[in-house]
Amino acid sequence: MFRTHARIGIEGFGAYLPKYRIRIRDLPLAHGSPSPDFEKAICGPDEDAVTMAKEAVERALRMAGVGRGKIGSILCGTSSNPYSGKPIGTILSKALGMEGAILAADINFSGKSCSEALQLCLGLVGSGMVDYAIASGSDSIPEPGGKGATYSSCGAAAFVIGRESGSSIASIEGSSTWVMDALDTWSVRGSAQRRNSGRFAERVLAQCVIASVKDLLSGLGLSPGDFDHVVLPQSDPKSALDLAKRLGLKPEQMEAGFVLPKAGNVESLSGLLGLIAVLDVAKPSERILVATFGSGAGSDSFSLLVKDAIEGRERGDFLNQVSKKAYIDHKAYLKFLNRNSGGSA
Amino acid sequence: MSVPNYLREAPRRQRMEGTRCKGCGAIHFPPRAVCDRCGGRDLEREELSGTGELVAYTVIMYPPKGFENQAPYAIGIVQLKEGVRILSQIADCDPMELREGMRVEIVIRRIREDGGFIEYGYKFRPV
Amino acid sequence: MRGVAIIGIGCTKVGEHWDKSLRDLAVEASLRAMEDAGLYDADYVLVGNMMSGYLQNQEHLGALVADSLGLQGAGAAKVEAACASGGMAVHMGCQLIASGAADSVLVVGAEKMTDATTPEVTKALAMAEDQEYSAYTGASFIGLNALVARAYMKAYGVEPEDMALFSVICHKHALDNEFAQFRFPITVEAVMNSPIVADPLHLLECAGIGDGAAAVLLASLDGARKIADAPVELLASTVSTDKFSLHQRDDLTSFKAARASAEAAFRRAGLRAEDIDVLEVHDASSALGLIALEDLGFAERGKAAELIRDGGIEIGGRIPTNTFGGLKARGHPVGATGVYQIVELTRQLRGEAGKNQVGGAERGYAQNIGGAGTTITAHILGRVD
Repeated sequence: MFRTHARIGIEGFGAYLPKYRIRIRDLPLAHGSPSPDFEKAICGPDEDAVTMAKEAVERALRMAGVGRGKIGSILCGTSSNPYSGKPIGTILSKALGMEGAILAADINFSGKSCSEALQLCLGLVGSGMVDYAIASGSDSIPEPGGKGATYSSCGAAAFVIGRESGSSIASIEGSSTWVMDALDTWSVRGSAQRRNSGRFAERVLAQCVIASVKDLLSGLGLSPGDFDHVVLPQSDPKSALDLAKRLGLKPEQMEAGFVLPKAGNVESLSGLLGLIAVLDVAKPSERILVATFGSGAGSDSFSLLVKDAIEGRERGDFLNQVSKKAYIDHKAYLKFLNRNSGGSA
Repeated sequence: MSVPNYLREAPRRQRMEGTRCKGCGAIHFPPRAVCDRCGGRDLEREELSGTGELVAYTVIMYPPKGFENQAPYAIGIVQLKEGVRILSQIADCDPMELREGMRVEIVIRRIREDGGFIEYGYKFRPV
Repeated sequence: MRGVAIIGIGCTKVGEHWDKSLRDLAVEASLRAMEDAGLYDADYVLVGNMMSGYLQNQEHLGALVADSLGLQGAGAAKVEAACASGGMAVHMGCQLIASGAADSVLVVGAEKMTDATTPEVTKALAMAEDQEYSAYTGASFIGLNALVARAYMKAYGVEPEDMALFSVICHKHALDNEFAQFRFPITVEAVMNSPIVADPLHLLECAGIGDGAAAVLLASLDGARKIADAPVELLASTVSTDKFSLHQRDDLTSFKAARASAEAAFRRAGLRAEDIDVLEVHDASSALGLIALEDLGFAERGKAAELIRDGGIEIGGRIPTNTFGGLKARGHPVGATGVYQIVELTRQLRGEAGKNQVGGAERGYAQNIGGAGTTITAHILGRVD
């Protein structure tokens, strides 16, 4: 388990989902049996990982009330930065008026890109290198079709991290990680094709998540029953349920953080969109376990304790994001994907 | 658009940096060197709220070069809370639902990709 | 200040001149004007043009046209004020004559638009607007017209059909104009059934894309009396500007620069709107035609539609307007338009308008607009007896 020298708090969080939705049942599916009532978000033709990240980061900063001059790093977990080699943080630093002495990097580790960014921010703040750090994640859907793409969604999330104080809305009790070399789902650079190793992939996911969660729990001396809310990776409905069963979790622990039906699965945000949904409704003193999974493969897990300051904050943003929507059909969906994947804005 | 032009304008396009006249308090967007209300020349930079209401709108069916792939799209005149009027595309909207007086807020979106790079700038969306 | 007179006029047909270059068009119109005057000379050549830099990659039009006409040695310059480039060129020509800086000035407005695709032309036209804060949004010029139209309709309860009628009458007037681009009649129904260009404006009520050139030869009034049989005097030439961008103005239903340039022109000429017999307005879209009638004092605010419905702007009506088709039907080769207007008024005042002749026309008024009401020129012409 990771421990920081200083206690770390979450000062603000924000989520963004584009307005457009498609119902899973409106997708012609090649594989699997879908959950027909589920829906996912798709960016408008003029949106991308940068514009979505900007929305989420701006919301997180507003909630945190931290001066932009105090931000020391902005990390963005993403697999769909429209630029290669130019981190999203550079563009955000301009748009948010905080260019200067800021560490800016894209973090790329498929599903756990954003949680990896969060881990790094814990280190940056915990070591005293920076006062405040932004961990964000943002993704648009890269390619239509292919297994795993069914629930693939668009959106962004961001957290402002600082040393724990009276203004923190949650404290991070500890974090853990687990990494291994595996080919569960992957694509080779230059190829649009996404591959999947089937049953083996399911095993990799369970192995990584359970390993990181177990390490975290033993480090903190906690058991699964100690958590009021648990958020697990949710790239599809089945894997989340299987994991919950294997960890001995009750349905009510999973309820608030299960966002797949309404938000789909944003590639880089495994679990963290669910964390935001939980923080939107959490009460002081509640304990939250969140675990993420990234193909390739690895898992991050965090234990959070909700603080009193959360009561005074304007929350409910995730619910707002979920409820503001306009449905599109499959034809419009393909058109949007086409525009998002290249050519003119 | 050239790269220097894009980066030079980014503070205006991405966070509505305008000016305030220290003499008469008038707010301007884009920033001015001379106040258009009192003629004063002592002005300071100020970020505008980015919220306001739609004064007039239309839908562009025959777009200029650089915007071909986006048509049809709505543009409108937005009166910001500060009283300043600006022209903008209206994002995330069904043009049939637009109304004069509708409340709108700023978003940053892709504007176009003319020069081989992505121009990000403001649009407004219904609140 | 010396009086200014028009001693020669000439123009090409407006249309798709696939076989003629910008230079060819300018030369053709200029030679006709000089032939009309019987004077193949000018101290100065002014070329009204908006888009040659973008559409032809050609600037420095003043010397280019002067040389093509064999007028090496003359002073020469391009005059650009967006769609008011033609009117502005005439205005500058007037200043040269009135001040005594030149005794003869050839003003030629020319634009060659069909060398480019429609999106390119649309982009070029949008260069009249603030590139960094208006054109940047993807607003087309007609889009800005549409904002004006919508605000105007809302303010005065004007129906789309009321506006369409303006364009219908322009087409009627163009039927007998051999220089017009669109010589066919249209109906209100046809306008309403044509595609929307930018809501609420339809294709058949917006000026199109065309090539053309028009020229006038200016001289001092005293000089003109010696050369020309029936010179026409420029009683007033004024220009006014407004806040650059449409969206910065509080009132979208009236153009301050139109009112200011009109007021100055009427004052200079010692005339009132009632004294004008024939009118040319800048109907880039139908809505601008209605607003012009009100801004210039020919109709009360919000009442232009009534004037039009009552036949007021037709030949024989109270104030015959756009008697050769206006921007909509004669055509709108942008930088040439303001000069076409002067050519057409001169034909009326000389009694050379054929079937379109306004009986007893003695004074004419031309309004030319650059940008969305940003730069507006006013010219009042009078017959010299």
